[in-house]
Amino acid sequence: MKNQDNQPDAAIELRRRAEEIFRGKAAQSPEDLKDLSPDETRRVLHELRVHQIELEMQNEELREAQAELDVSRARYFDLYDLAPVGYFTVSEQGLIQEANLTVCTLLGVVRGELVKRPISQFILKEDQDGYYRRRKQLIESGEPQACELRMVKHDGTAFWAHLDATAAKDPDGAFVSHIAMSDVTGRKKADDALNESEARFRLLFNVGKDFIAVHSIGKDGRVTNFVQVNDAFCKGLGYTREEMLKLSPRDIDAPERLDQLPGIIEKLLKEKHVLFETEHMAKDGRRIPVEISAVLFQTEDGQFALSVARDITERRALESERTKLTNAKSKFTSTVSHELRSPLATIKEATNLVLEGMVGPVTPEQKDILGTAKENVDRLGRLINNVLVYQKMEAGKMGYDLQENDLNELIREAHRSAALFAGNRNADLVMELGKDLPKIKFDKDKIFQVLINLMANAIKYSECGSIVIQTRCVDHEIHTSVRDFGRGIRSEHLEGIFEPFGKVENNQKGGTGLGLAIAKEIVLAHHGRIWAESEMGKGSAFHFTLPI
Amino acid sequence: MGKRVLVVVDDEASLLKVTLLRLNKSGYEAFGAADGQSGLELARQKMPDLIILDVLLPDINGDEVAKILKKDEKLKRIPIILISAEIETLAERARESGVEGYLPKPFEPKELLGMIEKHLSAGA
Repeated sequence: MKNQDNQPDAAIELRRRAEEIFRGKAAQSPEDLKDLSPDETRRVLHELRVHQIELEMQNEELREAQAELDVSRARYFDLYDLAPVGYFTVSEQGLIQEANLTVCTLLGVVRGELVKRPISQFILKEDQDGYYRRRKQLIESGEPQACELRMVKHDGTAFWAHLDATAAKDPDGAFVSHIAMSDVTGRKKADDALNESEARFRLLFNVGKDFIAVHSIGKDGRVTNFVQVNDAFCKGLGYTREEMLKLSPRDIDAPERLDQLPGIIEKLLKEKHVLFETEHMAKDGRRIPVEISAVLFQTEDGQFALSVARDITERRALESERTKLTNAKSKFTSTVSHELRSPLATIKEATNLVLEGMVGPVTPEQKDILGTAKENVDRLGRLINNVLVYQKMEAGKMGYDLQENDLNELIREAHRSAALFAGNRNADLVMELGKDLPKIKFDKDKIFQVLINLMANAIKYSECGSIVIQTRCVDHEIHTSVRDFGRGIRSEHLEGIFEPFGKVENNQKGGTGLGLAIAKEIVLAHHGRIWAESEMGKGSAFHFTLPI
Repeated sequence: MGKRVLVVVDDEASLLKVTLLRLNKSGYEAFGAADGQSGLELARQKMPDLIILDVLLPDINGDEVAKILKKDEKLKRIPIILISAEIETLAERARESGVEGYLPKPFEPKELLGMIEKHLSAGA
């Protein structure tokens, strides 16, 4: 009321006079007014009008003040009641004195039910101790306090709330605390899920026997200290976690293995994954052979390698044992075969000398029997040779001389050789060779051996009928087949037919039991395929392919 | 012309026996020894037309015997055939010891006789 402020005395005077006049008028009866002089009447009317205007002005100001108050109340409502956090004032005794609407919404109660109620009623029993501790600190220190606890809604459901409290005085000077409260259940749940997933990860990280570690790799391939190591790794090498985190992969690799590290890192950076073997050095100098599988991964902090190392001490021992056994087997086979050869050569030569009549006349009957002996000596010789060849192939020691060759030409050559031992079956060998076959790389002598083995089998195991040798180009291979029209092979016998001594039919045909096994080794060494088909009573077909 | 004289050195007694029989029946006069040292002595004593040496001998290996013979002024012109079941190293040993021929064991009698004839006619 500006007028009051600016001219207090004038206004008071004006009011006083107006009241006097009013009282005077009220004392007078209306008919008394008639007694007033016209001048007096004019003066009174003027004063009354001035007073009326004065009142109207005051009224206007009051209306304006009311409007301002309304706006201010609306703002207060907006700011206080509709604030995004719950806000309340709590007395020193812990009673809620005031609360905004957000608190009511969060707790699910009307405001009337909140005021004068102890705040502890809305805190979960288990979390009340925490609340009291904080309150005590707030009162004692006056410092703002923050905590997270579970509040209980009117309907009994609990939620996680974050509380921030400050100490203040009410107008009477009594202690009060202003508390802001927000619902953090969503965040808490996310935190819990994260904690749980982290706990699960930690369990997985630490539960196994494998050594797991993470270290970063700079763009230049520089390897840093470990940033993560699992329990097994620490235990395996005999370090504490703290000690391990001060080491880098370079510090735990065997010294003579360090040279291979740059190459491994290079491969990891290029291919994102690398598998290699090395030896770790334990704290006490023990050596642990390991196989490491490492992957590269990227985070905001740079690129890292996650490596899983497996202790292969046992595997190494087994491998070395197996190598020893394989070598022993090879040596045994080789020695026995060589040792068998010499006496066999003597038997053969002795038989020959008698058969040829070098040491005296031989009767036809003696000749026949000695002839049978000689045939079997030859067969034994072939078997020994095949054992030596197969053993060499199996040990991976057979060398292959791969040259560009014409397969059809080789088949014609093999056909000529086969005709020599085919006897009266000579004319049965038929060739159906594909035209315009490309030249391909193969070891001529070895594939010749395969062809001879297959043809000899076909002659041996079919009493009559054609033997068809076919070649054709299929996709990226040359397909060769040797087909006979003999009695066929039972399906149960077909399965192991390429295994050494897999021959299960009667053994009166003089085979060595290694022909097909050797053929298989040779074809596989050329990255080809070999298989057999047969139908009882209709014949068999042996197929092999060589890649173009 | 008398019979051509051959010396065969092989520690495999039975094989040596049948080989000598074969050679003697084929028109040669063949003498045998079972180790390197006696082979050398036999060669010096008989001055043969050709020597057949097995590689694996109990004292000195056949290719070592050949090297000694090839250094001997009186004996170095005698053609030598190296024989062995150790097929992988035979060619190498033959080249290093400077022998005239080699034959992997086991061999057919014809092969040996053919090779003997070849070297005898070349030397004669």
